[in-house]
Parts: sequence; structure tokens; C-alpha cells
Amino acid sequence: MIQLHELQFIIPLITICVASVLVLIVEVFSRNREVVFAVTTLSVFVALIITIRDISYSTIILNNFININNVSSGFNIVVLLSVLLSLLESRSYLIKKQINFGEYYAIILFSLIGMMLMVMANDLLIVFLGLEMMSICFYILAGFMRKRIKSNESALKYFLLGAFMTGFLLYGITLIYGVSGTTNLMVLFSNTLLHQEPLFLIGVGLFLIGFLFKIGAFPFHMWVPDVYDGAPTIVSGFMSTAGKIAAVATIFPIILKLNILDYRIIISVVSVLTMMFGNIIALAQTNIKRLLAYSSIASAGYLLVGLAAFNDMALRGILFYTLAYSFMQLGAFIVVGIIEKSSSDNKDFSNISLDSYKGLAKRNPVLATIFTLFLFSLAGIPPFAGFWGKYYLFVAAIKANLIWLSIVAILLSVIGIYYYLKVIVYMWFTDPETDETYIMSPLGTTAIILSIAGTIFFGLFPEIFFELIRFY
Amino acid sequence: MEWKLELILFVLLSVMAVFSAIMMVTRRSPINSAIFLIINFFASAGIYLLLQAQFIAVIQVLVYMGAIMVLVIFVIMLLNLQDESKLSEQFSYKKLTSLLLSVLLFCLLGFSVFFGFSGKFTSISGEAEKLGTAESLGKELVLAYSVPFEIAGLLLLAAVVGAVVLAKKSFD
Amino acid sequence: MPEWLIELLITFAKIAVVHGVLLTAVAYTVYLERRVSAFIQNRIGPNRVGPEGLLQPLADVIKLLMKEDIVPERANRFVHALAPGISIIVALSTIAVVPFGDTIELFGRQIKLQIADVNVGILYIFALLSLGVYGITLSGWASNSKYSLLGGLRSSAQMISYELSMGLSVIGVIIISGTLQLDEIVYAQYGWKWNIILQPVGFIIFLVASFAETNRLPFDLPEAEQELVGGYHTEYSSMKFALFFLAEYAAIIVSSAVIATLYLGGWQFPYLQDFGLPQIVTSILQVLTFSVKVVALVFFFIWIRWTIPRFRYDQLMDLGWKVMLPIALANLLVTALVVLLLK
Repeated sequence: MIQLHELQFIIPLITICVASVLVLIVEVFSRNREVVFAVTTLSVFVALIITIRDISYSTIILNNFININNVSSGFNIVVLLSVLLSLLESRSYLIKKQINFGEYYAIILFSLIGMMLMVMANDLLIVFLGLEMMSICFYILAGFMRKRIKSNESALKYFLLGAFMTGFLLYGITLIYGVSGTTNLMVLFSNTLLHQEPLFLIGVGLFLIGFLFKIGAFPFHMWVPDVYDGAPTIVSGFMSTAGKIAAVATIFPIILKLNILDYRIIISVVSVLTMMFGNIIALAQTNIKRLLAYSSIASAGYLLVGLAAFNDMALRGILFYTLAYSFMQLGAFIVVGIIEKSSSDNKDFSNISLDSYKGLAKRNPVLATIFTLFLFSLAGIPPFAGFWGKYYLFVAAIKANLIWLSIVAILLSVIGIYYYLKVIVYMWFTDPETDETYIMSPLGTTAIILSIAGTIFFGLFPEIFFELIRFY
Repeated sequence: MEWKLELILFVLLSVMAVFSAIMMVTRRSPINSAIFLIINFFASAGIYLLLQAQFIAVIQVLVYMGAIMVLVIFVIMLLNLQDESKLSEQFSYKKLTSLLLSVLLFCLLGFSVFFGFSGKFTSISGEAEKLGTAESLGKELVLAYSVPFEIAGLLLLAAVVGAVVLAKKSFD
Repeated sequence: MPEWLIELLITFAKIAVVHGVLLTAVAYTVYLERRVSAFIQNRIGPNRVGPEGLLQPLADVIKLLMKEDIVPERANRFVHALAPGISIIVALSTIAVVPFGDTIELFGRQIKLQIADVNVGILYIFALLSLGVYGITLSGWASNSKYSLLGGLRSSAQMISYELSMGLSVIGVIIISGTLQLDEIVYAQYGWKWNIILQPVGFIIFLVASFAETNRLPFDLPEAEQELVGGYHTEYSSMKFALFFLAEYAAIIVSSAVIATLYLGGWQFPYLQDFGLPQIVTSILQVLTFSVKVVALVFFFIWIRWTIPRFRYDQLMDLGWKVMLPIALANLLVTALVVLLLK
């Protein structure tokens, strides 16, 4: 039975649930988008604060369905943070694109519920439901600019492929359940006899495939550039940070705790191919959103390097990298969203090719500096947070004697520096072709300041994060 | 005698299911595919019935055959989808690769399903009859599985809101 | 004779009797409809074949059988033939779970007056009902005619919309009687406790939804003559057309039977069991009670047809989704609360 006092452990989740329904009600009766926005942002903020306060909770509650520990809380903090940052910029972006509907905020909150549930899941059922909740919201968000054909294409593509990959995931869960007779993760972790069962291994493999799709790893990465390109920019940022982090935060601890070393070679190969695809194809991109999409594929590769390590360092590295990644990737997407304009018929984007970044430093030095910082961090140049993220991941791989993997990963991330630098060169060392100005809303500025602060602060003092969430 | 009848029924239903599944994938006309899919759902409902899961069987008919497939046929009729024969037929390496991969996956799964279950699992046929009823299912759903149940409710709410957002003619 | 063979024979006998009665009733429902409509419109109606036109249904059947069976040139022949079959099978199978009387003792045997006592009886009815759409939809598609297609499209949209409120209104009954078995539901309606008294709102919703599900006026959009010629059965003739006709009237009778069972106490006559009549008399009276209720409802169906004009299509959808569904939900909520508080 569920005890009432168990609910105190999931106050953040309840806050978000209540807020999501409240947002719908407000939208129906008053259509006051200011109230809707305030409720949404406030609830996420409150949930974030409470999660940070309750970081030391460690318990299994609600009929063994929810597992709260410092890992899940840590990832939840990162997810909440990236949702909060993208929300702050959302409002001005949506107004600019004339799609400021209250439902947007409700759907963001629904997807957040899915993400938090899936991160805290102690049962494959919850993992599945959470993932579906998140994915369905993403399909909708990707098609949110209904007049833009590319947005529709992106939503449809994402939906069809996502539904197909969900089939793999479900089949995996079915096989796992068939072999073990349970979907409870704790039981699955502890029953090591099960881990030699071929059917169980295949089940876990199919389960992993479902998630590799969500995090955009090779060979399931094809959708990433198209979807990120077609979706509203702020949604692309949201999907590539919060969504990816939630998927990583769900599957990586599960794989690490199952500790099936047979998977190491598969994961290593996948990670190398992912990094290769992301970094090399990004070299040829001229569309900034596609470029960031490929960089996000490459990031999935770095995270998989950490996963392949299968040791204590791995989770540490993954957690830190997701934090750094949420700041820098989201920051970059926010800047792209500010620079982006609408085409004359208001049905399409303009200003998303690299050419529109020419001479940005002369037109708007502040924006150029900010973007440069994020790109440096994404490229992994010290002393920004992105550097430490990669550092921890590669160190974990080295500790696990995967020297070859770390060398390949370092080489590929060096290739990656090239395309980030290309954008920076465009901004600083070419002459402007237009004299467009860009409007920065106060809330968007706050989001950017927070991202910058995070990128620099955790770049200078990386260890503080682990102390903050009591994760050593 | 009785288990023999069950076996015959099972073989019949599974042949029907597999056959209709193959037909469903290979038909060119979408409405024929849909009809074979309905037959497939019917066969699986029959298999549930053999497993003493009456409630699931009826729900399978009610939801999949009665609601979802009606919508599918509705959409096919509304959009007036033509035969797929216009789509390219010629050979491509992409198709070959996907075929090979599917066969590989099928072999892998088939092999491990046939040799993976080596009789280690105890039969629950004694309890099956009791478990399949609406009462026991309902109790499980609202007592032991209340959390996933509630989440599924939220999931549906999110999906409904999303469908309205995407399909609404115009916003204010 | 072995026991199982006797059981089998009894079941076959029940099927034969019930379907015999049902098919005869269908024929005379058509007659009833024509006479009642004539009465309402101040006409005479069929009165030539036999005394008071009582043999008219027979003549109709012979006429339909003699007609030429025409299949449109570009129709999908298989589906075209399949569709009326689906309609009639669905309409006739639904009656299997409806109890038309209490258990009676004949030749020293307890015989239940119900063909199949399924423990998910209500769901069985809904499952079959939802399959009934296929008959209409597929016939609309297979005829390769625009009127048929429009009729088919309308009916699938209409039936899906009204199935929801129908299902939700029935949940109230399920909550009150605590079972999905139809005979249990009838037992629970002992004395004055008919569900129409306990669930008046649910009853009205179910009744309205039944009209929509059987495609009767005021919800006969799928076959609206003025717009769609004959709707989904425009391109049907001869026996295939007759099957649709049969299915439609069988659906009316079965719906009446289901409404009577769920809301009007089924075969229960208030306190009849306490009168102390011989058991066999009680049983026969109960079957008669049930028949009277069904006939009354069938009459109601016909009465409505000649009283209320047809809805416009958007009104129909608005009524289904914006009025009936919320009311059904509210009814469900209130019922659940009251049952919880009284426990």
C-alpha cells in the first residue's frame, strides 16, 4: 500500500503535476499567457529548489515503483535546470514566432513529468511510461510551428521513427519480463544468474536500442539533424538538452548497475561511430541548427565513452558532462533563437545559415562574445565546463583500461574543434553583410547569464558540483 | 482431451495470426492491409482467451478492433489512399541491407526464444483463471499498480492536449 | 446420453429458439414500423396481404429474394459481399449474452434462460457493437460510390463518438451492481431498484447513444435519404440489401433488450417472486415481462423516428462530444462518490 508520508519524497513531481493541470485550466478560462508562464516557471523553480534541498534522500517508495537516490536527484536537478533555462527564453521566442499558446507550457510540463519519472524509475513500467510521456510531448513540440512545413516534417519524422523504436524498447521489456517474471529494476540488478541468460541479454540489448535512438547515437541518429532543424529553435534546445539528459540519466545507471561487461565492446564501437558521425558530418554543415544537432550527436558519443568504462568514475563523469552540456548547448540554442528571424510570410525561419553570423562581433559584440564562450565550451577548451565534462568521461575510460577508446575520443573531439572555430571565425574575422539588430528580452538575458555563469563557474571549480549534490 | 482442443485452437489461431501479419505487411492496398490487421488482432484476442484472460481478450477486441482500426480505416477512406504500386519497386542495396538485418534479428530472437526457455519457468495455469477476470485485474490496477495507472492517465491527457494543439483549426 | 452432449443440445436449442424469435420479431418490427408510421401520419399503412396486412413481412421477404443481385462494376467484390455479413452476424450475436428470464426447471433440469453467461457480459456487448461499424464502413468503401463512402465515413465517426458516452454511462450501472455479468445485474435490480431509478441520467444518455449506434433517426446521418440517396447501402440490392435491413432492425431489438436488461430490470417484475405463484408460472411471467419491455422500447424507437427531425452533422458531433460526454463523466463521478459514501 502507498503511505501518505511517502508523498513527501516526490514533492517536486507533485508540484509539476499540479502546475501542469493548473496551466490547462488557466488557459481554458482566462487565456492569460502571463499567468500561464508565471505558473510554469515558478513551479519548475520550486521543484528545482526542493530537489536541491532534498538531495540526501535515499529511498524506494510507492510500491517499489520510484527510487530516489542521489544519482536520480542529481540528474533531476540537471533536467530541471535545463527546463528552467529553456522556459525563460521560450516566452519571447514564442511571441516572436506568433505561437505563444498556453498549451506549449502545459506540454513542456508534461514532458518534464515524464523525464523526472523516468529518471526516478525503479520499474521498467515507469521507465516506459515516462519515456512515452516525454516522447509524445516532443513529437508535439517539434510540430508546434504548424504553418512551417519543415516543422511538420520534423514532427512526423520524429513520431514515425520514435514509435518504431518504441517497439524495440517494448519488445526488450517483454523479453526481460518473460525471462525474469518481474519488471522491478532492483530485482533485475540483484539477480546475477539472470545476467547470463541469452534472452535476457537480447532483451537488454533491444531496450538499449530504444534509448540509443532517444539520445541520438549511431546508427539511430538520422533523425536528429532533421528534427532539430525543423522544430522551433527553443524546442530544439530543450529536446537536445533536457530530453537527451533524461534518457541518458535513465538508461546509463541501469546499464552500469546491470554491469554486463559483454556490452562493453558494443558500446565502445557505438560511441566511436557516433563521435565520428557527429564530428565529421558537422564539418560540412552550413546551417547553424544542423551544426548544433551534429554536435549533439557527438556529445552522445562522448557520454557513451563514459558508459563503456563501467566503473565508479563513469557515473560521475556522465553526471558532470550532462550538467556542462545543458548549460552550453542550451546557451548556444538560445543565442541562435535570438539571432533567428522569420521569413517574410512568417512561415519559415531565416537567419539560421552560417552566413548570417558573419561579422556578428561588429554588429553585436555582446552576443558574439557569449556565443563564442558557449562554442569554446562545446569544443572542450579549458577552462570551461565542457572541458571538464569530457575530461571526467575520458579519465573514466582510461581507468577502465580502455586507452584506445579514450585516444580515439580525444582525436575526434579535436576534429570537432574545427567546426566550432569556423563559426567563431565567421563572427569575429569577417565583415558583416547586413546591419540587423537583435532584441534580447530580460528573461532571455537572465537565461543566458545563468548559462554563462554555469559554464564558467563549473569550469573553474568542477568539484563543487559533486559536493553540492553529495556525490563523491 | 481438453488440452488437445486447446492445442488445436492455439495452432489455428497462431497460424491465423502469423498469416494475417504477413499478408498485412505485403498487401499493396492499404485497406486490405487494415483488414488483415483486424484479423490479426482477432487472432490474438483468441489467444488471450485461451490463456484464460477473458478481460484482456474482450478489451483487445473493443479497443484495437473496435476503435483503433475503425479510425485507421476512417483515415484511409478520408484521405483516399491509393495503392502503393506507384512506389518504386526496383532493387536497392538499402532494401537488401534492411532485409538481411531483419532476417538476422529474427534468427537471433527465434534461436534464443526456442533455446532460451529451457523449462525453468513454473506454470501458473492454476491461478490463470482467477487472474484473468475483471475483478482481479481491477484490484491489481488500483492497488498494486496504482502509480503506473495514474501516470498512464497523465500520459493520455498530454496526448489529448497535443492532438488538439496540432489539429485545431486556428488559435485565437 | 453423456452429460456434455445434453448440455450441447440444450445450448443449440436455446440458440435456435432465440434466433427464431428474433428473426420473426425483426420481420414484424418492419411491419410495426410501417403501421405505426402510418398511424402517426394519419395514413392506413399495409393492410392488404393477409388480415390487417399481417402477412406483409412474408411478401417483402419473397420480393427481396427474387430481386437481381447487382454488384457495381468497380467495387471490391469480396469486401462488398463481406460487409452485410459482418453487420448481421454482429447484430445476431449480441443477443447471446442477454438474459431473457430467470433459471427455470424443465424435465428435472435447471435451464438458464440465457444463451451464454459470459462473465464480462457488458464488455462483450460493447465489443460486438464496436465491430458493427465495420459492416457499414466497409460497405461504404467497397461500393466505390460517393454516397456510400460518405455514409460509411459518417457512420464510423458517429459510432466512435457515441460509443464513448455509452460506455461511460454504463459504468454507473457497473459500479452500482458491482459486476459485469448481465444476469447478476438483473438480479441486482430486484423490487423497485431498477437502474432507471438509480441512474436516470445514465439511462437517458444510454438511450440517446443507442439511437446513434443503431443509426436511427434523429441520428440516421449515414443513410440520410435526402442527401445520400441510401447512404452506405446505396449500391446494394437483393439479399445483401435485405441483410442490412435485417441487421438494422435486429440491432433495434437487441438494443431494446440491452436497455431493458441494464436499466429496466430485465425480466424482473417488481416483487413477482414474493407472490407465491408456482415456479413455472413465475418464469413464464418473467419472460413475458421482458418481452413487453422490449416491445415497448421498440415502439419507442419507432415513435421517435416519426417525431423528431434529423440532426445536422455538426450538431450531432457537438451533442456527442460536448454535451453527452461531459454529462456522462459527471454522472460517473457522482455515482462513484455516492456508492463510496454509502458503503
